[in-house]
Amino acid sequence: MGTQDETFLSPIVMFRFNHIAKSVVRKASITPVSIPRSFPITRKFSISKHNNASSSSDPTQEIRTVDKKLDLKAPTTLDKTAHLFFLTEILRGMWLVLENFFRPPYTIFYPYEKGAVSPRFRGEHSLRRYPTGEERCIACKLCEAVCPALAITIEAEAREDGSRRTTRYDIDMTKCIYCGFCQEACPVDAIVEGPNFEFSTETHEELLYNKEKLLANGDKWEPEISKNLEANSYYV
Amino acid sequence: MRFNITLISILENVILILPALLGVAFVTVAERKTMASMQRRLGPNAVGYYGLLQAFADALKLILKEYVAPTQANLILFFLGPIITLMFALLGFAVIPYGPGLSISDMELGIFFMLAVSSLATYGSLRSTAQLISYELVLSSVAETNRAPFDLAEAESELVSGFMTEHAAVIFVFFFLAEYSSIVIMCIFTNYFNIRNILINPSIDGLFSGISLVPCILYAFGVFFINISLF
Repeated sequence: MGTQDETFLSPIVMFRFNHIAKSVVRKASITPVSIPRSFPITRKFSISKHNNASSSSDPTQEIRTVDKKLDLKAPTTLDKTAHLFFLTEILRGMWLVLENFFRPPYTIFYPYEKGAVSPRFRGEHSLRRYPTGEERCIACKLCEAVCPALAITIEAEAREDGSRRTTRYDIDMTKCIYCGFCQEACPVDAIVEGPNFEFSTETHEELLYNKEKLLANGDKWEPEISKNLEANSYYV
Repeated sequence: MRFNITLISILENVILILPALLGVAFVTVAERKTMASMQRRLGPNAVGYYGLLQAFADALKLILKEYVAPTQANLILFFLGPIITLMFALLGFAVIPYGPGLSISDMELGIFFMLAVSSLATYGSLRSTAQLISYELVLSSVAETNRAPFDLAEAESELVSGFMTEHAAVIFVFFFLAEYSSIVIMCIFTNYFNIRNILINPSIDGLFSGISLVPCILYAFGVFFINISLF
């Protein structure tokens, strides 16, 4: 029994069929037919030696040929017919379904249970502060310049102490494509895309974030954001 | 006196049809849950405990929906089709013996009546007939219940509900109930043919004597199982 024993009915039915079929074949081919290897209908697929991935030096091994040797180990017509007749493939499929029936589902109970989020996840934007409470953003407008969706609008003025700060920092979250370029452009790590993705609203206006909203986001998500930045710092 | 007999007869029918429809409703949930488990999903789990009341939520939604009919359709036939389908599907319950002498109609050729009637339920719509008539000859039980691999008429896997595409709201509920009640009837009758003479003592002969509920459920599971694995 040298055939593929992955058949569903192999112990019971296929043994007999194979046995009978083999004996018939053996009797029929007492003198084994040898067909010459270099059959005229062959074509070189690639001339280049470098493309020849296999270690064999015979290039004809790589080429599809039309001649087939008589293979006693290949499934016989009787095998194939028996598979067809006894619906072995369908039965195997049904067995697979039954196996999975007794296994637990993959479902995550979403609002109560949440999947893992990568440290590089690009979610809702935040404006961060230094540990002293001073806002990081220096109004360099690099994020505004790099934003491909033109979602960011910045206006800046000198503060009373002379340092340059934004007077307006708006992000239209409905324009934003969450590419993360603003985060990459920022020289002081002020604007970041945090791990939050649950900020859907009922109106369009609620998604037009201003500076207060972004700073509030930063205060709210700072622990997660700093953790994520730290986790990702090795690759930056 | 005559009035009383009519009243009792109506009462009997109501007592039969209400639990039958309730059972059919729960069979729909059972199928969805079975299918979900086999596909490693959860299935309905929000309405009621374990999603048991999902069928009623769906029915309520569908009943509240707008009636739509194609402009060129014969309106009477269009709305009559699903009603006929449901009526004939439910007629099968009339000949099921629920106990010794316990059936709506204790006729001689009950089984043939059931087979005839369930075929008519399939023939409720011309399109379903056209698609199914060739399979009807091949394999009756699975084919008549419109399940895969004989679900050509509905073709659920193709998102469009076949001949039901134009039917909305209550009319669609009728088709749905008819289909599932024919499954229930098929399971009960398969059980009746196979198990009755072997397991059940004639003295407690009755299909809902407890012992026959288990094979009924197993047959229903078999129908779902074939349906799901041959998708």
